[in-house]
Amino acid sequence: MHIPFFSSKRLLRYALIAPALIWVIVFMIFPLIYSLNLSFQTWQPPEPPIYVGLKNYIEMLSDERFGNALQNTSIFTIGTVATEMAIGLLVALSISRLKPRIAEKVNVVSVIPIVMTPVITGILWRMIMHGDYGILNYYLSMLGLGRYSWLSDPKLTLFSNMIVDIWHWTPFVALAFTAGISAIPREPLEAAQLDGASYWQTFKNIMLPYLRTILMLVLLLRVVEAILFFDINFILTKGGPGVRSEMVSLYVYKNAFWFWNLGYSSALSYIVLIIADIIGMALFFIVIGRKKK
Amino acid sequence: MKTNVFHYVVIVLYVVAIVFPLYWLVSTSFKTHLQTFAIPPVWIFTPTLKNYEEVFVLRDFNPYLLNSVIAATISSLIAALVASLAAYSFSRYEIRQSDNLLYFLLSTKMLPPVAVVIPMFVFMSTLRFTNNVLALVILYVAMNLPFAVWMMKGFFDAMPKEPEEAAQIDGCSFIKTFMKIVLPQVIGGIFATFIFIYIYAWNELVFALVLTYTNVSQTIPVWATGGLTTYRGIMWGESGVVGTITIMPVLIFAFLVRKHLIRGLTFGVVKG
Repeated sequence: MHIPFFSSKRLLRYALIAPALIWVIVFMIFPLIYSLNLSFQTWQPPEPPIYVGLKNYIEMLSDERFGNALQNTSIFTIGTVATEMAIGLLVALSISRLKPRIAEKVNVVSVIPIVMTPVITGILWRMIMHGDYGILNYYLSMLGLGRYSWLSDPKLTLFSNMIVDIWHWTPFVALAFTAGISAIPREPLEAAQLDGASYWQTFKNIMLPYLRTILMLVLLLRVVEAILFFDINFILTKGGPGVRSEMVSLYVYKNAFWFWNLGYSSALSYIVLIIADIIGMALFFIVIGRKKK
Repeated sequence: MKTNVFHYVVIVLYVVAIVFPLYWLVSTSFKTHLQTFAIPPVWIFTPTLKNYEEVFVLRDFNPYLLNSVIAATISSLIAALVASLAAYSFSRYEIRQSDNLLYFLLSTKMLPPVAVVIPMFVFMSTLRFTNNVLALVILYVAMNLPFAVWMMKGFFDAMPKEPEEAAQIDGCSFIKTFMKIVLPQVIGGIFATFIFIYIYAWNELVFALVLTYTNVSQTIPVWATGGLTTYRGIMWGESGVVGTITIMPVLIFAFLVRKHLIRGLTFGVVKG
């Protein structure tokens, strides 16, 4: 007897994808279902958990510290992503005018911050931005620009986190745009030059349409990562002073593992998840939609 | 000509902004205490290995280094194996709902690590499985699988189908075809993917921060969050050493796969 579905070839193709899917479902999705359940409870170990319905979600609306974290994350995300896109594009345009041999070397340099362990990046910048012995203040004061408490001045710490993220991720944007620019066909660019088009006209009318997909994709990846920013926030300022540089992921972490509000922090983490996934998937389908056309 | 000068200035500033902090990190690891705080900063000096001795002998850095190597190596091997099978199937066969399954995998990449780690902490504590490198291995495989499947699928898609079909017509079993015909052609891609997920696992903080407590299982990033400051402040020389040692393997690996880097970082959408 031969039942089509169980024929060995059909079975094989599903058997090959099963381990990957099962692994992800068991260790990523199942925990999230559990924590959704947890988000309707109050649980402060060692007290036993109690079901409280929507209380956590209602409490969140009047949680000023969460509001503060959301505001910091919004400022951080818009500020860093815009800066990274602008500088990255400028650098990519400059790289595209170099000789291929030199461009290759610059691209190798770009790789360094991207792959560096974020914790180490945080530790490095904690040293650079040190108020007394940091090299940043030394050179700034030498240029007559003064000294700053990068890691403790309430007005500056969020900005300091942004500087480190911009250092960390601008090279990624530059590399992606460099790849995009090098894929643009030469003919229209040369034709535009012959016609005497200005650099800005060439960029706007010929290069930009080709770069649109990459631009959107890079935007997507950067926005989602910026919303979830944690490691450097944790090392550099721990959200301080007070909560001045505390972002949403760090607030969820502190709520769970410093204050031991496991139920409330699960509810918070769900809101962060929904925000990141909605923005991420929306941008993703814009990218894919454009690609298919 | 004016624009050319402008572009060169941009490039020089850009390269200096990246290389200068890195040089400073590495040079700090070779400086004496006095040189570290010298004003103006010292650029040329006789390097000392005293900080390295401090970290490896006095601070007993080895267990953390070993935990990091174990967690990253085992998890990356498992993830690369499991992902290559799935990616092959997605690339070659008609899978029901294959687009949806692939998007589902992709969407897990957008999950906040803090959202996954709270329930995971409860599970692992209940099972008495915290403070164990294997717990990290399991989670790093789950974290890296979606990316690995996406990246490897790109390599399989780019490979011609004919040799496999010919082998199968000749009566080769699936395993034989896969090992003899498919694997040799995509081994470069699988290696690149492996390096990528190795770097992700090596750099990971949140899971390890919550699930490991002592040198039995703590990885370098977790230890570095607290181990490099004292009540007197930052330990400069030691920070330089740990930073240098931690990023060196990653930089070497990244250099090996730099051709695939953009492809990897953009889930295979941009072919760099």
